[in-house]
Amino acid sequence: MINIEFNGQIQSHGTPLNIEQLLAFHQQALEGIAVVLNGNIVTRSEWANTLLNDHAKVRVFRAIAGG
Amino acid sequence: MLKIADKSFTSRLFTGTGKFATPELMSQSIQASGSQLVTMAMKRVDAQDQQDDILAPLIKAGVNLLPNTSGARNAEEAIFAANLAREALGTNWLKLEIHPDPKYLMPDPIETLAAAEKLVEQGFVVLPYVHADPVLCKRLEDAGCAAVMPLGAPIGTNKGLRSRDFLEIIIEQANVPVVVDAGIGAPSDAALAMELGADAVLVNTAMAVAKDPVAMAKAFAQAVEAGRSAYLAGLGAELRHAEASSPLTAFLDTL
Repeated sequence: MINIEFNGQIQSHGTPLNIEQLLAFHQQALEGIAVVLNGNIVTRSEWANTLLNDHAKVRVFRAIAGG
Repeated sequence: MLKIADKSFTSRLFTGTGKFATPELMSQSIQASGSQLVTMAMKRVDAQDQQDDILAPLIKAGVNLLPNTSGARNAEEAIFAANLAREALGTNWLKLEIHPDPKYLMPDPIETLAAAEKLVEQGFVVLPYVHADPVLCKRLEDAGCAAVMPLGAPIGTNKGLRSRDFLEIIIEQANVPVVVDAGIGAPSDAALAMELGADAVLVNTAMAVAKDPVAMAKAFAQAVEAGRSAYLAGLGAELRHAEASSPLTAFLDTL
C-alpha cells in the first residue's frame, strides 16, 4: 500500500502506479495540464515512465480563462 | 501586417478569455473580434474543481494562445508559472505579469525585468505587462522581450488611456511592437491607442462584461481597424487657434 498526495488530498493505492495511471485514477482531462511531482515539473512524455513512490506529492495545474 | 517574434497577425486586437459568463459566449466573442492571439491563465487544480473546458473551443477556432503568469508575486514564481504554461499548452509565448498587490494589480517592474531576462534565456517569447514606463520598456526591449505591453489604466477598470502621455513616449522610442494592455474600457479607447501608433491592443474586461459581448467584440474590431487606418493616414496637427475650413472671402462687405 502506498500513499500519494494528489492536489492536496492523500489517497492510498494498492499497487504502484505511474503519473499517467494516477491521472486516469483521478479522471483528469489530459489536455492543457502540467504535472508537478515533489516540486518539479514532469514533462508529458515522461508521465508513463515516472513511477510514484510512497508519499509522492503530485500537483496538477490547468490552463483556465484569464486576461 | 503585425509581426511579433515568429508570428504574423492580420488582426491587431488581442483578447483575454476571462470574465465571460459562459465558454460559449467567450468563444463567440473571440470569433467576432477576429482576434488571433488570446490570453489564458494557469491554475492549480483543487480536488473538487469542476472547470469549464475553454481550451478545446480555442484550439478549434485556430487562435494562438498566450498564457500568462497571473498570480505570480515575484520573478521566481513567474518563471515557474511560465514553465508550467509551456508544458501545459505547448507554446513558448508568454504574457509575463507579476503583480503582488491585489488591490491595484500594479505590475512589479523590478521582478518583471529580472524574470524577463531569465525567461528570454530559457527560450520564451516574452511579452511583459508593465506600467507605462518608457525607461522600463527600453530595458525590457534590451533584455530581448518580443514586445512590450504597457497599461492604459489598472486592470479591469475600464478607465481608458490614463497613461496616454507616457504611452506616446513608449511608442516613439520602441523598436519592438507596443501592445496597449489593461484599462481599455471602450472601443474609442482602443481606437485612440491605435491612432497614437500602438501596434496592437489587448482587451478583455470591456468585452466580457458588456451587455452583449459578441456585439462589443465586433465594435472593438472596427475601432482597432479605424484607429490603425487613421494612424497610417496621418492625423492633422493640433492648433491653438482657429483655422478656417471655408475661405473667408469678404463678399458680404459689398452688400
